Amino acid sequence: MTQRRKIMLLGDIGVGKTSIIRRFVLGRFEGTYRGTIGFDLFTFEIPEVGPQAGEGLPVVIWDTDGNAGLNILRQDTYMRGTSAVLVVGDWSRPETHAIMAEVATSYRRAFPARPILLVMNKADLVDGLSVAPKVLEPLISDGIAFVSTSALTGDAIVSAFQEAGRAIVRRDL
Amino acid sequence: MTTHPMATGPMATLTTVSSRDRNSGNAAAFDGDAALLEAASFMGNRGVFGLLWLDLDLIVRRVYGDIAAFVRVGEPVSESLLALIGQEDSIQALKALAHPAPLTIPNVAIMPGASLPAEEASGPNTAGRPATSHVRMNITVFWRPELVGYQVLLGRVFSQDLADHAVEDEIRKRRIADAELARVNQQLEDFAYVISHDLKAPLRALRYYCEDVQEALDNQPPDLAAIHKSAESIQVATRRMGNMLTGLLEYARLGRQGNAVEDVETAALVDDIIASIGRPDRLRIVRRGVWPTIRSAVAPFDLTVRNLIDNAVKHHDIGEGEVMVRAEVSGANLVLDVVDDGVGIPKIWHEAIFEPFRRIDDTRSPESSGIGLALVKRTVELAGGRIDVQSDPDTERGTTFRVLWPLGTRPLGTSPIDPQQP
Repeated sequence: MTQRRKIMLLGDIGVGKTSIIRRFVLGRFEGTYRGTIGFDLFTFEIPEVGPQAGEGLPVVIWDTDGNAGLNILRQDTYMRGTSAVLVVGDWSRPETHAIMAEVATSYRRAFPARPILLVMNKADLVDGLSVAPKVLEPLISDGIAFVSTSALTGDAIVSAFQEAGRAIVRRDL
Repeated sequence: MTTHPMATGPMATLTTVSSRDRNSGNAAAFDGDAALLEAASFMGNRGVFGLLWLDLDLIVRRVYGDIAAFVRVGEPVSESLLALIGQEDSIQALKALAHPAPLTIPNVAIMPGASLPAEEASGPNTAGRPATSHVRMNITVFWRPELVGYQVLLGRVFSQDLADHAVEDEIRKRRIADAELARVNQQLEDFAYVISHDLKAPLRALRYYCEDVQEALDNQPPDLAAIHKSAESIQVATRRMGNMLTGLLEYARLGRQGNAVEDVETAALVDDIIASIGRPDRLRIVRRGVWPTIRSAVAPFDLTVRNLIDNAVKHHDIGEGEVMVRAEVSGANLVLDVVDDGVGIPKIWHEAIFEPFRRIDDTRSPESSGIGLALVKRTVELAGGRIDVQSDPDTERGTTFRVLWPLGTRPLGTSPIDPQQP
């Protein structure tokens, strides 16, 4: 049986971390905002990215409290055993982009070999927007994947997790 | 969030819970009942509601307490207590320490699909798992050498009441709204500063020219040449003020106009723009590269290209050479370059030139409003694109403005921030 991997979603409050997970796990979107307090853990299987052809990759997905910010990264207890992180931002709130850069940079420094995916959410609010913010360019140039998603429409949600899943399997984390 | 002590007697609760036969694992592997009850009393007095015993391989051997009902005996603990995935080495390391501090993971809620309302429960996460009520808990793992195993305490985390959570949510929403408001206010403040400062300049010039005229009139005979020169300067200054006010109005309107998205034949549009821009005879404007038909609002695309070309022509220092407009498709963007062979823009100006009314050199184009590049930047960003400038007069002549224009762009001003979306 394939070992269950740990994926964390990090990012500022209100960027849609919970919505992304719920869209992925439950296949639906809820419009009412309710902030995550502490950590919520979800189990699921990322389809078609397991070590064997056609197999899913079982994961536990940590939904984090955006208010905790970089403090999460500083607490080894939480980060230990993490196979990949999705650093989430909000297309419509530029201040969240700088936080993405800060979080991703800190994570990379702490866990150099672990996959990071920059996830810019709420693409539905900025239809057509596809140019990554400048503040993220150094990270993207450095090989960190960037994906534009919408938890509302479901666009690129599954593929974002698949991207992370493939990286985990590829690096055997 | 606080952890409350148990309201009922810990021993009674423990006895009730432990009387359920949940100990189907290898119970013979250890004998810890006495210590277990002692620990349970300790835990009960501190609001701990669940207890697990693990063997040396971190296999769950006994489970006590409703909060731990979802944990399966005989399986590795991390199979059901998912917060411990990845923590196995750290748990194992506890026994190597002389006085190990417990490993603590506070404030987690495990949310397998079965814990959610029935209509939500779907997918492989629900398979065969007993339901939990996604209780929020603190998890603490101790090494117990006398039992040659590990003790896991699950402490329920209570919210003071539902209102607490609602208040916290409200505070978060306010924080998001406040941050956005602060950003907009800062922009407004910067904008007001620039306007008040820069509009004063031509006004001040007008006053000086009027004083010059007055002085020339006071001469006997009046200095007509000086009066004539001042009158010309007054005309230039007033035209500049008019241009500035017009540009300002246009800048303020951006984002509030509804521009329908349509198919735009960029090659034809840019040819029309080039044909309409006046320029010295020896300054060529050429179009190169790949110019596809794109989905865009015409007006903002036109404004962007027109202003960049016009800017290159207007500020060319010798009025002789070439302005090249080049495009190519890259991914989901049209990459648009406007390249000139003029004097260039010092690096210290690369950001300031995109602010309203900031001009490097007044003498080349005295009537210029100084708002063209600010208009372009705002237009490009409202369309979801980006603009950069590349120039270094210290090393070579020329400037390149590069625009990334999304190929399937939205109408301007149709992207309100929706605070309701989490």
